[in-house]
Amino acid sequence: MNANDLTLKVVDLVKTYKLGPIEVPAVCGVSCEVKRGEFVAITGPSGCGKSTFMHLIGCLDKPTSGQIYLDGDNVAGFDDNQLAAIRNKKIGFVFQSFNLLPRLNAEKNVSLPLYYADIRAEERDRRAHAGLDQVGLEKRAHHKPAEMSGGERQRIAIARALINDPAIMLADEPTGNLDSKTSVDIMRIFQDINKKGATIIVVTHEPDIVRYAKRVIKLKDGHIIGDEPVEQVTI
Amino acid sequence: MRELLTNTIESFYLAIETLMSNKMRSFLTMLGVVIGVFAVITLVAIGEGAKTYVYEQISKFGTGSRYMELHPGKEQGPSMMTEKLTYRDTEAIEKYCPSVAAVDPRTMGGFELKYGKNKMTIQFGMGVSYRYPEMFTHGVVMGRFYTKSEQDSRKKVAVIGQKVVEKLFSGFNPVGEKMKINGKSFLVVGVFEKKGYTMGFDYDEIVAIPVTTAQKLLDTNRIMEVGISAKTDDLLYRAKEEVKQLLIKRHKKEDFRLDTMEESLSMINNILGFLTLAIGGIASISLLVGGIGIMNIMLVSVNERIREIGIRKSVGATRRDIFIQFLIESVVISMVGGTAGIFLGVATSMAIMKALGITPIISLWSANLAYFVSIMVGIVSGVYPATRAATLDPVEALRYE
Repeated sequence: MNANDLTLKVVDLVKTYKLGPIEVPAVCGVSCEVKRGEFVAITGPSGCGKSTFMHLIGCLDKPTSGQIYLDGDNVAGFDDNQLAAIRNKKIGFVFQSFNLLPRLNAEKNVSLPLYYADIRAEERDRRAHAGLDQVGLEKRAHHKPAEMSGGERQRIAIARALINDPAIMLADEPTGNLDSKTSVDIMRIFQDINKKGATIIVVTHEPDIVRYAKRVIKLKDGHIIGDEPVEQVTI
Repeated sequence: MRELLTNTIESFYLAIETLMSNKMRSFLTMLGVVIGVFAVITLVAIGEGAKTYVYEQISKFGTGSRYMELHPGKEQGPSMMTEKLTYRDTEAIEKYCPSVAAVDPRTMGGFELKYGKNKMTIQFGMGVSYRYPEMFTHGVVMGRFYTKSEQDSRKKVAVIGQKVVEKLFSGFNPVGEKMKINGKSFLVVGVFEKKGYTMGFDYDEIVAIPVTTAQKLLDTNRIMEVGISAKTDDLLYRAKEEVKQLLIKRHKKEDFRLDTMEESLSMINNILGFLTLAIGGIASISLLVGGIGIMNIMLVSVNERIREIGIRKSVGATRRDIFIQFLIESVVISMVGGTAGIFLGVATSMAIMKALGITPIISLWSANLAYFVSIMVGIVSGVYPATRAATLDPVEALRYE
């Protein structure tokens, strides 16, 4: 296999939290690989370490030990500024609670990563419009999150995650705050962008959501207990 | 590379937008700085105004830069009453000091005036020499001033101010009339021109009689004050030295004080300058309080926006980005507050000085300083909250409800 096809490679990843004198292991020696264009669901009961795992590969948190290769770079040893740059350029996050800035309109929320990439305002606006178009919300560009439905907000968040053309899109329970119909809409968008070549990792505990992915990694107590292809449901 | 300038300008817009989204709070936070800067500007301006006022008043007085005053007693205070200067001293000064042009010995006391049924009390009746009009640049408009021979022969003659003419003589020409001073009959020989107030003394309510006559009338041989002018400006300090040596020889000790106008001016300047600085300093305390207000609100703001900080970090904001964002917010608060304070302060001091009839002077340095200090206040009070914001852990911040 060509190493360039590997978007993510994780080796012996360990994360231990210290709660006073007690050490709480959250991720205990996880190794896995994700190829370009994959659509992976990470699932498991709550407390299995899936959120911690996502924070680690999303460069929001630093591992206790182990390696994380993102597009070939070992980010495990990166400092805060380098991690910020990786989050900006290679990672696109979609969260359960949308995490949009309430004071900014849709357009400005979508272009926020570009602001930190030092891209000029006109270019940011142009790309934000293209991004909104992609999720079918171009007409809502000047609305604020509070004026939008949950599904619309999550689509804004997806547009934001895609704006920097990231190596990996990480979604943490993206349908957790949505009704089932809207959830299906959102998962269809994920499938669309996956078809166009984006690598997606969805963290979820809902079996329904897992079915939209192509592969599932099951975690329990910080260990991988299963890694298998999924009979993908297409919508 | 970062486009630093564009980024900074955008950060300012962002800060203004953020502050506008909570107008009341931003306004109240600014108010501390507004009041602080306002207080500094206004109080300093009033101090400077007072300085100019006193300066102008003193320059009107006497013969300017070749004028000095001799007082009994080494220091100002009680020794003025215990130590003595005599008329003979002043005659000696005129005679033996070659650099001295003129000597004007003076004594003062309460005068009870009476003309017909009209009565008037003058608290500081003046016994002055025939040199008074030139020394005080206070001329006579009707009649004449008394002469050296009238002074030498202790004639009972008087020259009066215009308010005295109005009150005592009901406005008609008093020259040639006789009036009573403390029961003694005096001939009015002249009327002074209008001069107005100087240093709180009303020169239009003046009654001047020869100093020799005054000593007799007030039953004293004291001279309270002697005006001395040197022949030229350059000779002033030589004249001062001559007078000093002569009096030490006559009194066997230095029991008098010689103040040149220049020295008095610089002393008053120093005192008022110090006062201005002191009230400016007190006013800056309110600026400090304003700064603490900003820091307090910025800390609250950071706590309220932990989620926002997490979101910004998750899309790639570095610690520096977050630090600058919050620091600029704090600086914008203090800068806007400072600007408002300056305008308010300038307007108020203009109004006050206009009301007091002082030439309005706003010193540029106090405005510059206040502006600079208010920006510094913003930076200093922003650093701690901004550091708190910048060092938040992204995972914790995103999880924060």
